[in-house]
Amino acid sequence: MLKNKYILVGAGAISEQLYLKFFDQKEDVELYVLDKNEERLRDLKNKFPQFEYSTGDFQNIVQRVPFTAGFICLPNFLHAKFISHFREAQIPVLVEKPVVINPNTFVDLSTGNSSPVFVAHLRRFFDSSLFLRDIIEKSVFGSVQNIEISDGGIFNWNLQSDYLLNREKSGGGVFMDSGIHWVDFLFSVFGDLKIAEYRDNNRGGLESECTVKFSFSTGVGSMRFSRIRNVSRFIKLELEKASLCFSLSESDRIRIQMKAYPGIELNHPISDHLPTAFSRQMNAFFSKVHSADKIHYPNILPGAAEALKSVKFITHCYESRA
Amino acid sequence: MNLELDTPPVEILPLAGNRIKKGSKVLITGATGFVGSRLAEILSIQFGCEVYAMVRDYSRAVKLSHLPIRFIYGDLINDTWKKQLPAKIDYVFHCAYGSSGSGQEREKTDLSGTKNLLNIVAACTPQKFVFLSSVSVFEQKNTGVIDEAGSLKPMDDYGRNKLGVEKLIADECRKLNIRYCVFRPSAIIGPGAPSYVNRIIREIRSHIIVFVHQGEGKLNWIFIDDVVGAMINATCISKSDSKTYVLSNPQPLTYIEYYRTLALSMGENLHYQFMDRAENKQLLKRNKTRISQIIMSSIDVKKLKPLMKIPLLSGLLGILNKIRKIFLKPEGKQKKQLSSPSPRTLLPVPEEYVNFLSSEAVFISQYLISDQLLSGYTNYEVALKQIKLKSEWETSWQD
Repeated sequence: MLKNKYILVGAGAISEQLYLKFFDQKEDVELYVLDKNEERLRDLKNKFPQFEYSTGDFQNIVQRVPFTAGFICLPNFLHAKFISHFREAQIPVLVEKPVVINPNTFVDLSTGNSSPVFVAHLRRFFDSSLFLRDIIEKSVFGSVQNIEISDGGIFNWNLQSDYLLNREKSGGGVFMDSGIHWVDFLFSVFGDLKIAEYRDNNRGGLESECTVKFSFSTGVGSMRFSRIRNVSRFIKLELEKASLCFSLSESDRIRIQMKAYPGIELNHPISDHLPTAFSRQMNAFFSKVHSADKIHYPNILPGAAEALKSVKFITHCYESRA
Repeated sequence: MNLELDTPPVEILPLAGNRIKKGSKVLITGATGFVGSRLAEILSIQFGCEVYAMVRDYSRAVKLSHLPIRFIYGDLINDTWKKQLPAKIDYVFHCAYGSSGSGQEREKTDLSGTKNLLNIVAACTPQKFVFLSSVSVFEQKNTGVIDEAGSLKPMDDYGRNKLGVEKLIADECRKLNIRYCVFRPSAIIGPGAPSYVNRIIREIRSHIIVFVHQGEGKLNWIFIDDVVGAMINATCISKSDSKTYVLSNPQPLTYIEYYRTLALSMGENLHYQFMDRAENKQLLKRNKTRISQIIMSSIDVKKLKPLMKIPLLSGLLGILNKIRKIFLKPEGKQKKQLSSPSPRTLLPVPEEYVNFLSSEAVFISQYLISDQLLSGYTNYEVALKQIKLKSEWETSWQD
């Protein structure tokens, strides 16, 4: 049986920590890793020798090898260009968030051909998110009246380039980089969000902290993100009949307090596990690409148009800043 | 949920008539360090300078990313970063030093790196080169006053390298016709200072504090903004050309006073022990054993299991595991002690620092004020207030 061939463009920290580790467990695939940084590829080849590595030109490689699908793990500003390349080559692609950094660029791209573009919004695939989505969508405790989200910590990713420090390359600071996970989650559950107030600490560079107040169909909410101090990491939902809290420091449970029984707290067991969530996301992508692949959870992997809503919201927040 | 975005104030004491010009192009090495990052903040925000911040680690640069500054990525010991520089640099603030690697590597970063830096920036014709040295270059005296004329006899590699760089700058700047100025700050305190604030706060909270000499040794401190202010003022005061200044608040504190007031401002109680020299020596011996215990206990034999397939390694790993188990027993007991702090849970002070910590000598500058590099020193209450504000800010989103 012929092996599926995949191409991963970009060999940064996310590629190594998530994609290569994921494919390391797969036996029935061939993976090509493409990056301009020769030294980085050498380093990865030592760690994952079974994959093919190349510093070559994307177009030449895709003409030579019949890829089933591809992945874009590049600095944000290169997403639009490579989405375009993948679409020209008629290869379905999963691109890391944010789908693009300029929503207007994407409108031009979307008028091109039709090979599908999906966006990696990993937060959707954690146990906690799947559970909260279910509770909200099924109105188990009534409608959501208030949401509080707090996330971040002192930045500790092993950056391989400067792209997160440069607006032209990243599209924004902590909000575009980390906050987008939660914005996407809210959009996916509520359909729409409206900005009430946005503030950040940007003094002429990129925001490394920000706060957002917003409203949605049934209530209001606030979010705060930082990458320069340690913050409590949680999402709290105030619903008509209960309040729910998921703290990322207690990733094995969601705390539920029923309003009818004050003082009693229930714990719903979950298991938020990064590799599991990533596997779910990858399998959701494979299931979209190969219709024969079945998954046992809702396929909520967003397409490009859906993912673009979060980018637009964040861009509007930046524009609304006094 | 607290949604306040407070940031510490940026103002420093202004000095009439000697402000660095808006739009000046400045290069800061070691820009992600404690002094370098405050310099970058003040020069870009308060003085409107065009700041080029030299950094080695992209991840560490994230803390400066909100500022209107440009990053230059590179290592002082090579010239790959040269092309990122603008054609003209007005001032260079050299705050980088070898902080990692072996002694030889640190020396290379300090000496070869500085020489390389000077040769590269010479092409940008800077008006002045300001170097951040340290009082570690001085001979340690037990009493009296140490000023700019003090005898130079560093007690450790850090001080020796700083002194070496000072000499190199004097020689090279003369050859390259670059005006320069050197500052030797004492213990720099201020919001987030790694050695003299954050580390001490951790010690206070862990209840493991040991004072040698009853904590009566002098902590010669200086507030961060005084250091930064003097460095900035030096760019436009010609009297400071080719000069070296001691930067230390003339009103030092005793170590015990400093710990006590810092603890008080954090709302913590100060738990401490006094220790004499003999006891310290004893503890140093014991500590060596403890380090080997930690190393042995951190070896995860399970992870090494694939190696068991190789017969020779299998035998060696078996022996290693047995040794590890022997070592782990006392380690278990140690952990129990640490969970409930007892007066005997002491951290010994490296022997070479005992003299330093018990010294009652005071560092004073003869020229800093008269040369108008500072109009006065920040008093301790103001410094403490700023430290407290930053500490509160650090935890205010942890609700």
